[in-house]
Amino acid sequence: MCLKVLIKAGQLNQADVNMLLKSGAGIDDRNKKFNWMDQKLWLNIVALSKHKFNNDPSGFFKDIVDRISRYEKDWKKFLDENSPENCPVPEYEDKINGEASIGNFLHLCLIRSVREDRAVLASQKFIRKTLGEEFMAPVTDQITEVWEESEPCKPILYLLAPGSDPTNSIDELARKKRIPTQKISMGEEQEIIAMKHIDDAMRDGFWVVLNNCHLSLEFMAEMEEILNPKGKEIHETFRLFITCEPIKAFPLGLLQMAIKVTTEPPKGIAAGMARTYNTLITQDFLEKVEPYEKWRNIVFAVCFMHSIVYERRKFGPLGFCIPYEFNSSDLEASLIFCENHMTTAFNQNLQISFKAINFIVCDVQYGGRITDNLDREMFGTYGNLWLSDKIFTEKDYNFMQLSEFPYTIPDFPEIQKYHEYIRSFPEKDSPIIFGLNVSADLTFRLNESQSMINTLIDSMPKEGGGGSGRTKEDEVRDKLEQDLIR
Amino acid sequence: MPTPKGLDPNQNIPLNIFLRQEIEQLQTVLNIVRKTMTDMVAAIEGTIIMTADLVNAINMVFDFRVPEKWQFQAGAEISWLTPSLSGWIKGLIDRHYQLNSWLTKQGRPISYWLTGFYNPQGFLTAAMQEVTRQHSEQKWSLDAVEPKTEVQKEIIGGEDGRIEKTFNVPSEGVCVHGLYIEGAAWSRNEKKLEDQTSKDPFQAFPVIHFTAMSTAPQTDARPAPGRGKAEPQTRNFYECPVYKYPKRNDKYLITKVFLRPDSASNDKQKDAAPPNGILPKYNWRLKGVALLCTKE
Repeated sequence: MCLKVLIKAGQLNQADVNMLLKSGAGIDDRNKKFNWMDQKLWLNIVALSKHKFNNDPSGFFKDIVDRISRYEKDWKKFLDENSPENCPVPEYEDKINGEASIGNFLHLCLIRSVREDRAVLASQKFIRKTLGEEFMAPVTDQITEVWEESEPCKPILYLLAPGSDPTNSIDELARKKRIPTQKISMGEEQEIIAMKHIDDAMRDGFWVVLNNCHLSLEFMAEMEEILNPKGKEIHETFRLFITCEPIKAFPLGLLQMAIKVTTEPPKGIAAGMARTYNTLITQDFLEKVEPYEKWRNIVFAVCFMHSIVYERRKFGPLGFCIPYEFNSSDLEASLIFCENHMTTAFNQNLQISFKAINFIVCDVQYGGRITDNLDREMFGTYGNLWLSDKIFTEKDYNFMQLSEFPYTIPDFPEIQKYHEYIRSFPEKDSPIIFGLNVSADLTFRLNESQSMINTLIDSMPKEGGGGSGRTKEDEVRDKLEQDLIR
Repeated sequence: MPTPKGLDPNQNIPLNIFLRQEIEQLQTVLNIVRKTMTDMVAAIEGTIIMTADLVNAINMVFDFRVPEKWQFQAGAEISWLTPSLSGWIKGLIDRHYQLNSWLTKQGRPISYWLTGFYNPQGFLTAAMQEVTRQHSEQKWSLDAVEPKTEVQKEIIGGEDGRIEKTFNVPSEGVCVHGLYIEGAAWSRNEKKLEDQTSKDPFQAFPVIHFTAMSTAPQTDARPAPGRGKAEPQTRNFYECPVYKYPKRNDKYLITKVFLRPDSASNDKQKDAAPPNGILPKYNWRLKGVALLCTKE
């Protein structure tokens, strides 16, 4: 988006943007000059040095190779920096700042080429500098704002992300506005009931929530007509909420008329734990099984493990080979088993068998989703570590002793204390708590950057090399002919 | 081609069969590439009709990405997966180089570039089969052997099939290179896993010597080489998976290599609790340590 604006302003051309996106992907150069450098990095730098930014015939980075070899130390240090996008670029800092119009873009290109993992952060900086802060702030639509924008025949469409559920916030708003709300989970044969409720609600001005509408797409296709009835008044407080998984076959008409809201579950261990202790765990729950103290410890350990494995997915293949959709029903079922097991053990005066708990939790409940043997092994490792009698015998058992923040099992009789404790968790999760290496964050960022760049390439129009008026066909043909001759 | 020691020249040599399969596979890919390229040029010039496939291929080349036809045929992978076209072409040249020099030069390469094989699992199985045959006197049989690996000291750098160094090659089994370790680092001097410190998530991994050992119960008094001493050694080792691509899944799993974790260097130490209270084996599992054939 931002790039387009600059192109329009004549500060950039398409070729420059292509440079940013593709970098060294299209060249082959085996004369790598620096042994410490990775082949890919080298190609990116060569591409950078050849490119003529904004049709500037000299090429902004044309002597970058020379400069790197002259000041190798500075460059190495720069490349090893934790956040190079905020550090001065060796040699080029003044020169980049001198380029008032495209300086920021040059900086972004350089970062993308030499440190791909920081590209997302660098482009955030770029957008902030060129367009302004407000374009970077995350869009947080409160449900009230969404509601104010909606109209009786303008439904509100929630696109569900795994683990998120907007129903609660709808309920809350409905309570505030004192409007009765009907909830229907869509599925087989539910259309007739849904239809009846919608009719009633249109007459009386109620709200209707249709959940999981991806299960009933045909009905959705009719929805457009239903919401625009001929010769029938719709009560002005009527609202229709639709929740649906993002799905390609969703009727276009309805999609266009609806207000679309995407929900994303909060990220991070702290948020995950907080959600669990706000929804699933209650004060009563903590007092369900005797001995309470042990029960609370097990509950905490299982919940903690749930958050860990849920968050571990963000590391991509380093975390799990396959991104499994763990959800709260896994956690619930695991807790129910623990509850039963402990009750039986308590009544019959038996030892609690962690072997059994481990097996059910790691191999049956969560393990049932896991299809890769190594993932299962890894999961079992968490189980062995955290679901053991150590959580009873050691006071304030520490989940990961290397972690800077001590994640321990606290013991409080009241749930509020748990809430407070969870709030004290660090906002950003260090990879260490997952048992991962610190540099796992790097891998995670690299994945993020690559997916951003790929999305950008896909959304770019396939235009030729700007200014020169060549079409993409010409370019491809040239490339092909070069290849064929070789 | 010369016959390796201990193999019957009248029988088909497993690795030679493998080589033929690899060459055939590469030839198939080459034919497809050649056809798409000439078709693309012809279609752009208007000599033949532009099809959806060709439009797709042209768009991909424009974006410096690999045309789908070059990588998949009816959904199955036929070549190798790289995000960029230059990487793919480089892979093509390097693969050709390795197979060509194996075929034409006298003798086998001292180490094989595992990345450059279409079917690395097949390669390792063929190698195991050879070792088994070399031990036919000891009555080894292919269904009673398992892989045995040992990490060597040499690193063969360069992300291609070219080898510039020489070193002593064990008489049995094969040496492979071209792997990267992710999630940990490898200490070459002490031959063990250690924590990763550098910014690069992937570190080049030394040559691995890959051979077979018999798992059949020993009937004769003389222990077979490789057996006996290897068993207790690997008990506490981290069983490190080897994947074809950074995207790990069952399909891309090639084999497993036993790596020495840092604190299990001898049997006496193995029960001592490591600093963070996690057994070393588990520690590396949680770190998601794996060997990968390519960084992309």
